[in-house]
Amino acid sequence: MVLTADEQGLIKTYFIPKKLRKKQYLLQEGDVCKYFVFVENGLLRSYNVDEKGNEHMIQFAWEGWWMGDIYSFLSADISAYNIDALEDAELLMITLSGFEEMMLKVPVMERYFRILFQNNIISKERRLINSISYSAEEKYTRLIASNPQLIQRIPQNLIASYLGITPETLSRIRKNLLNKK
Amino acid sequence: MDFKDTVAILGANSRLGTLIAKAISKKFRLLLMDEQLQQLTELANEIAVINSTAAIEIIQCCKDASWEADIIIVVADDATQAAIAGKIKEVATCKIVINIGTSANCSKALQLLLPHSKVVTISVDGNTDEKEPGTVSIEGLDETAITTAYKLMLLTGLNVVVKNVA
Repeated sequence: MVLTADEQGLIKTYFIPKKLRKKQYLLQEGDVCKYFVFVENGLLRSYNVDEKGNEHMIQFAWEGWWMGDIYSFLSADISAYNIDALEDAELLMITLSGFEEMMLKVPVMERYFRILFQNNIISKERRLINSISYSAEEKYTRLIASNPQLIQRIPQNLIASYLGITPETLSRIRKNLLNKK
Repeated sequence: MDFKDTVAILGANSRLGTLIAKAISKKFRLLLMDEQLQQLTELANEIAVINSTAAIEIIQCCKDASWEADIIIVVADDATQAAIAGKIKEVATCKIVINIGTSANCSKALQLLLPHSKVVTISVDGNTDEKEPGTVSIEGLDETAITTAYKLMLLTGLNVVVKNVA
């Protein structure tokens, strides 16, 4: 996908540059997700919190990834998610009105986001299949095979939460995998 | 919920900058920026005494402060405004930038210098004393920015008048 210099210049005017420090919130449960966010640098996570106060990881986003609660962003309904920074982050944020106007003025961006959302659907389907079809160890090995930097950057308890297993189970799996080597 | 928008005050040591910083510290996370570090530290300490839960940080680079902020307040003369605009332009896109001055020195030059920001010009006429509050006039082209500036200035206790809505 190639953008002309004019298109690049125009696209820049729709994005809000924002620095977020580690542990700062971008979105809190009960608020409307006002921005769809591109991560230039750093690491974000989205998660929800159950009645017992347990956090359940939904997604991680690092350099080159997008983050947001799409439902809340598009519907202006309140979000059930929290989004915060696991590392200091540099972001480019766009509002819904900016998003729609940008796609009208730069149609190639509509194609870009169509492909992005297609990939997102595929990724969510794969995650669903992983969660219902594989053992905890298979889930973990598949995850780190597709996202090797996860282990370097994300604490083990958050990876366990993302996989829907306990930290103790993850620790046992990692030990087993080390013993197999 | 402890989520607060972040406001950068560029020129926080000025009379108006200090007034605003003290007035809005309960509602916003503050990034105070100015040249005199000692005076900024004293201001931050003073606010912490008034409001023990205030989230305040001192930043000496106007670009870093503006990059991190959701709302940018500029209290500076024309020449300084131009220099600040040059530094913050690329990180102020689509952000609300509130340009504040007294009626004698307030100009609208910042809107031209930051064409992709939502610039609001606020002019303070008369006292900033709580006992005899002066009048604040707000002008701008973006309705959301004017509303935000209006709500923010109400916190100062000054008489606020919106002169110009798009």
